Amino acid sequence: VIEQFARITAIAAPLLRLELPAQIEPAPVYRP
Amino acid sequence: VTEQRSVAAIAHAVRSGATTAAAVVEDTLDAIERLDPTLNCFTGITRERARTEARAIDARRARGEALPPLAGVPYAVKNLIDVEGVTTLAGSRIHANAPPAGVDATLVARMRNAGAILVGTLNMDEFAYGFTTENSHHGPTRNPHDPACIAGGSSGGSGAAVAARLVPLSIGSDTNGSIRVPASLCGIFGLKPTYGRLSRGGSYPFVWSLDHLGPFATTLDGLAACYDVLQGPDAADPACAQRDVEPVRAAVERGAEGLGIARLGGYFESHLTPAARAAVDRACSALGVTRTVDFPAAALARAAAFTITASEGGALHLPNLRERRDAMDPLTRDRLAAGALLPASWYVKAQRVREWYRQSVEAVFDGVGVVITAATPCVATPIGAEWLDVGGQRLPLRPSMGMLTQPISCVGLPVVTVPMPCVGELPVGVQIVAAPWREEDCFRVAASLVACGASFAPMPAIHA
Repeated sequence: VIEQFARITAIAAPLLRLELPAQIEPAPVYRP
Repeated sequence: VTEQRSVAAIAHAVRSGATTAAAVVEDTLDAIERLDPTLNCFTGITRERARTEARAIDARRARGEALPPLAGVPYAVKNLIDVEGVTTLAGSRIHANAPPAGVDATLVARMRNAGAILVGTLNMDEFAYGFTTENSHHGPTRNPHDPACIAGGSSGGSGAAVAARLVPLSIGSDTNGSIRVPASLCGIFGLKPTYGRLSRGGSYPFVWSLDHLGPFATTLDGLAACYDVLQGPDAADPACAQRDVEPVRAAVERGAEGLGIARLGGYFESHLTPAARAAVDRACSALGVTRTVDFPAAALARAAAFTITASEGGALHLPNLRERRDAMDPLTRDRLAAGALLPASWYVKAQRVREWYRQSVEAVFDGVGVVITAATPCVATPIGAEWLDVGGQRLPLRPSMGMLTQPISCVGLPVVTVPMPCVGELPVGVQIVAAPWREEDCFRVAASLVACGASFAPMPAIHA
């Protein structure tokens, strides 16, 4: 589990460092 | 290239009376019995149902009724899709003693209404969390082009059964690449439609905000015919769009004329082995593509998909992790457990990056109609392989098989994966990607590649 967590952390790291405008909402799904 | 047992050939033969649906089913069951012990595509055979459905088709023809478009065409489904009377395994041991499904999944019901005949359920990675179908409970599915190699995953049984010509059609699921990866490695056609296009009603979920269902086929025409009967809104899937059926089978005859086509560079180009790059080269050469565009921040999109997958998957399986962990595949268990431990803020950030990335990708499609890249970084690798060398890096193989598919499904774009065979080499496929809801454009470009002979599903060595 620790190894898998480390793998996810390594891949997610740049994502977590990225600064986004506050207006970007977590709403990624295409809706009709 | 003539496909003897394609969807069109079988449907025509049954409709014309050249054969019966019953005879097609018996041939199919014989082929499965002969080849599946080697390939391990199937986890269940629905013999009685297949024979009953075939008799019904033959009776309708005998009465002079018009037959539906897929009458007499055998197919099979990934075992996370409900089939009435069959336990939905989702690749796990945990579900083995669960009661059988009470009704067919929406897509199975639509295939039944279209006259297709269900012959069985197909192997997959446990809970669809993988790209290799090295299932520790049901055994690995083997690639028909080289049984020592993986078929890809997680819909490995769906890909291998079609590639081996056990069935001309199958249905699988794609969360991060699970249709496109096996289609690529097995050398067949696959469709991951726009997120929300095809109903997931009656299928076992993996990642709610990323899950898609879609078909595989030995021919592009068969893929289109299947897609056309699967479309339509469905209240059983809250993400399924309220869109009318938009048939593509006839549209493919228009070819790719007028569509701006570009090659995906940057991140995608830097993760190709020579075999995958050559496949993209052949596709671009056949289509006359000279332009290159980039999906900026594709690496971040992959990171977002990776994080969302781990988090939603971990949340879904938390009860299993607490109570049934000994019954889980060790690799799946550890991935899901790690995912369940991720902070909520990481998940929210990943979903925000996804939205930000979606806006940037939408801008790319203001300038082009379709983009092209490989579906996998490499050809099929030996079962049990751990590492992939690509772009000067040594990467863990299992997650890396999806590195070219994840940044595309992350924002729900439609993709047709086409085989680009090369004599003497294992197959590798190319993704043809369009803007949301533009599946038709993917099919038109794919049809151009088929028409010029560049794309076809090669006959596997197992038939040699």
